[in-house]
Amino acid sequence: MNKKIMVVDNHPLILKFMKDLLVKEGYQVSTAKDGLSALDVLKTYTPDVIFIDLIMPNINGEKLCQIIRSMPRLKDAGIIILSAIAAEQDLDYAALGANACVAKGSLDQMAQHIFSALDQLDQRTSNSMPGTVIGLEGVNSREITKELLSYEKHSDVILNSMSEGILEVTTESRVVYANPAAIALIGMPEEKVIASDVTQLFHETDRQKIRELLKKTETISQIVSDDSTVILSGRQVSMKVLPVTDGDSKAVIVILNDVSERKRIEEQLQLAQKIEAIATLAGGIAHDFNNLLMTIQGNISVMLLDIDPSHPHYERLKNTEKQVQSGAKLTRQLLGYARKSEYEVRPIKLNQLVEETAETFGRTKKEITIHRDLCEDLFAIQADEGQIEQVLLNLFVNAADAMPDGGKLFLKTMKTNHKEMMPMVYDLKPGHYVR
Amino acid sequence: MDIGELAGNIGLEEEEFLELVEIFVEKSKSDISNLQSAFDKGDIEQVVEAAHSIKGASGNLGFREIFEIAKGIEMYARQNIMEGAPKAVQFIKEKIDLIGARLVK
Repeated sequence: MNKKIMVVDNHPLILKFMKDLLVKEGYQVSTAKDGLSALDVLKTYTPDVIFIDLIMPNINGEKLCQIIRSMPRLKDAGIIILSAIAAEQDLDYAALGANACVAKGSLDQMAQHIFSALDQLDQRTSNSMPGTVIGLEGVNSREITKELLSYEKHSDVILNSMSEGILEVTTESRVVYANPAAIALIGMPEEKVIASDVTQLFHETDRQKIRELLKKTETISQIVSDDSTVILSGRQVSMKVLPVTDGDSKAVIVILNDVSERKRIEEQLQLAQKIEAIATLAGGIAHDFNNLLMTIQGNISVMLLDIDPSHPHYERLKNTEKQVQSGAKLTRQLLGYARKSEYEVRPIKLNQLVEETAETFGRTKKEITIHRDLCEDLFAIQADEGQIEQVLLNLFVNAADAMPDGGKLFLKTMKTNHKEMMPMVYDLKPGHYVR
Repeated sequence: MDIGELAGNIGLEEEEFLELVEIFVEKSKSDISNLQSAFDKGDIEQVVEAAHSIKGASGNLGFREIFEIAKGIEMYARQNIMEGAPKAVQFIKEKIDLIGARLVK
């Protein structure tokens, strides 16, 4: 019998003891000081039995079991959990994918338990084994570890429910921990992410940047800001990198934040702002253009008044007037479009508006005399100024059209209320009105 | 402290035992310096880890005194109690130095 055995434990004492013990019995033994180095050894080494300590830096025993069990090549390897913790809780090692469990204690007891666990493994016909922990007697710090476990569970809950992806990376850029959000962001199964080179997870073009960033953390806490995002499986991700020192071991915590959605919305907002600016510009041009057309229109009207319909240019002028009018219609449409989104209802003085529009209108239609009878203490009205202006101008133009030979236009404002207006307008809310 | 007896207690030859003790002393020294820097930083997690490591190894080798003290440090640290811990660590350090001195001979 020349079985190959692997021992993974972070205490050199256990590694030395186990190696000596098992070599003496004729086993071939290799050792690893943590989960990560174990995975490196397992790339080329296929042991029959693996002893695994539960509490280790750089990928703990639980995760290591899980990863080993996802490797088809190692499906026949027996896993024996080797931990003081095993004694202190009702460890469900089968759920970890392990075949047996040995509690740590004094070395002579441990030696016995290790051999009986190996015997058990030899005799196994299937993967199911009696779920007992070997060597429970004589280990008695139950309470301590219960607390340790509950402590770990607390931070687990926090890490599992965070929306940010958290990675722990060794100084050699190897991933030793990834929370669920990070796994989801990376888009690969956990056992592929763990122990992989963190830079390889990112898009090629960003890898050099990540490498430099991780290098910087050797001296200071370096933060990549939002505006220099990196690409992670097609998503834009902002990244914070924080070095942590734990005793003599150093590690780097990488915090990943998916900002794709935010970036997309920012782009949309910028586009919307650009469109708004163009609309305002178009509105301004349309307004000026309209003024220009009105001047032409005015001049043509005057010329048409002066010349006889039999004049050779009469038809041409008439046509020009028509064209100017359709041009004016177009600019009005453009103005309406540009203003579409900016109706603003606020208190305004109707009289002032009437004065202003009448003044403007009067200049273009000299043949019309405007008479004003404006109520002096008129209520302020709630309306959009531009809209009311439009309404007034339309009313004036209609009136003028009805008086082709000129005439008198009467403008009157007055106070009223809902009762007086009732016969004309339905569904009025009670209150003061202006007409 | 009779090395032969201690080795016999855990079923090892004296020579094997001494090799393991040497590893224990070396690792414990780094654990102790981690403990001391953890006290300075108030890093409870690191205190727990380092004490846990010393506890486990001293338990393996049958150094009951060190085991009990390390266990106490670990347990109190978990409850956020650090008073007296530096003193306890000092005690462990002296014990381990003593063991180390025996090895040199």
